Amino acid sequence: MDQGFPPPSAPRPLPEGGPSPASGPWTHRTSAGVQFGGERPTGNRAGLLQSFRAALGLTWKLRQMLWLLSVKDFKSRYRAQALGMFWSFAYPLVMMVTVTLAFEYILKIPIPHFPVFYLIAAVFWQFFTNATLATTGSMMENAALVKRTTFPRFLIPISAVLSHLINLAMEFVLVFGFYLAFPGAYTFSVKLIALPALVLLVVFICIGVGLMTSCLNVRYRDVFYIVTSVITMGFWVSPILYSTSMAPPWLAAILRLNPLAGVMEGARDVIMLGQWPNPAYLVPGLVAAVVLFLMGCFIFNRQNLKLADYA
Amino acid sequence: MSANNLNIRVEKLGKRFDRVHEKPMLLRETAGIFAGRSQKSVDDLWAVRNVSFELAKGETLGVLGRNGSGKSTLLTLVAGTSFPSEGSVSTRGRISTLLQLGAGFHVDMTGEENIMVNAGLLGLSADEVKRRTPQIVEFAELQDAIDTQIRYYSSGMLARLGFSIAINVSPDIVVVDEVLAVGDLGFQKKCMGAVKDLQKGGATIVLASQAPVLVASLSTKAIWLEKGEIKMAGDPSEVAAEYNAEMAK
Repeated sequence: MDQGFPPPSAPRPLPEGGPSPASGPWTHRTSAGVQFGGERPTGNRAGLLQSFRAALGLTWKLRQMLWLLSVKDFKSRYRAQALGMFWSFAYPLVMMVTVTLAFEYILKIPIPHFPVFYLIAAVFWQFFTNATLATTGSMMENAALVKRTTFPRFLIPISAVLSHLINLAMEFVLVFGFYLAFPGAYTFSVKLIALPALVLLVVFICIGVGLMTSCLNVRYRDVFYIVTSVITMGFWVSPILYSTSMAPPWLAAILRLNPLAGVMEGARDVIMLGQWPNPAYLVPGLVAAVVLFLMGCFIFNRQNLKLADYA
Repeated sequence: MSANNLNIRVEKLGKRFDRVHEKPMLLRETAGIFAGRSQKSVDDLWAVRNVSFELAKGETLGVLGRNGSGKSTLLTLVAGTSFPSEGSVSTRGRISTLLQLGAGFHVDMTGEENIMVNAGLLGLSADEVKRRTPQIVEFAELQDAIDTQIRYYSSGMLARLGFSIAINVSPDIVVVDEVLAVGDLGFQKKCMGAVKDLQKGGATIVLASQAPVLVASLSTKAIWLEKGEIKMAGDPSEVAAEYNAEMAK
């Protein structure tokens, strides 16, 4: 294929697959939203289901770009730092040492293999907080993309979550690396296959939250502070430094309503005890993932029309 | 002209911006809803109003107008990044846009990676992007800098890369806002050539410009916007001449 360009005066052969002879179906945009197909706009916007299907198809089609963007986002987080990705290991490590000192040696908390016990839940918590904060601010951060390009916007919060998923994968290396220091804390079994499912659950929760908060944050900048406050509180009501079974039954029942509780304790059961996660404790997480994801799609679909005006 | 040939149909298009003088706050507005008070916007601004036009394959619309006349808003509406307040925009086929210098580029990525992402987002498969990359780089004259992060590019380089991607993805519709002004004369000439090739290939182009000469030489139709409404529409050289005369006053 000729890579060079002839001088402008000479007619240039069209690139392969050039403009289609008869352009495809119409896309109509009115104040009601987008409508696909039909000769004239009728004012009936594409339904939630139709939009969702279109979005799903687009995500699949753009999966490589989405991945590239997420990797880049991940790399750029550490780009300007001398020690680079070392930091993604350093933070959980430093926290683990500090927390172990305070809780195991001073407060004498009676939990065997406390460092590993803490680290497993902390890694999930780190992912949840970082991904949620990043996705909430993502639409504002990419205002130029929102206002000036046809970039599919719903991919912005999703890509923010995915880039932190890479961090999570790295931190899991750390979790399993500690087998060398605390071999007694681990029970490896085929039940480890439950781990990706637990991660997926949290990913869906984050994406659901992100679809909501990222576009609401464009209009109402206070959303970011609400999310920050909820997260600060969340640390103490999640079984990170303790397990819910240590609480009195009535409190344990309440604590287990936290969607992340079942995931964190489930991960501990899988990694430390070689047991399946308790399905009953996972119900709040499952419900939250489904409800938040649907709510996210719904709210995003509504806010989408005004995003470019406020970003 | 048969309707089969149309790529863009804009009907009675209007875009209103609420000019709220206070920052909207979630709590305040929620409280307002519960108290039964409706939030009134103090004043609203019609950035575009009552604009209609139709463009067939191979046609190019030049949009003239002063700063703030609504050119850019009209272009974002056609491109589909913002939504109309009234009327409708109908488009067919792949739209490629150049609305702002460097928009859609990721400063931490190299030129090549940006080509991958941007061309991919316009609907090309990864293999197809790879095949077209040399062609895009060559046209943008960036052979030496393509593996450099975009943050070290000059504005001219960004404009060249953006333009080169936009025209090399076989778009059905191209929306260009002023971006051409940044490149040097040689590149501008090359762009004009590329635009003419696109027209021959059947692409529909909408371009906004402050330069009546550019509009007159590239467009097949022209509109002159003033305060969001069409002041004059028709033959590009006539509209350009009128616009020139008005500006000279």
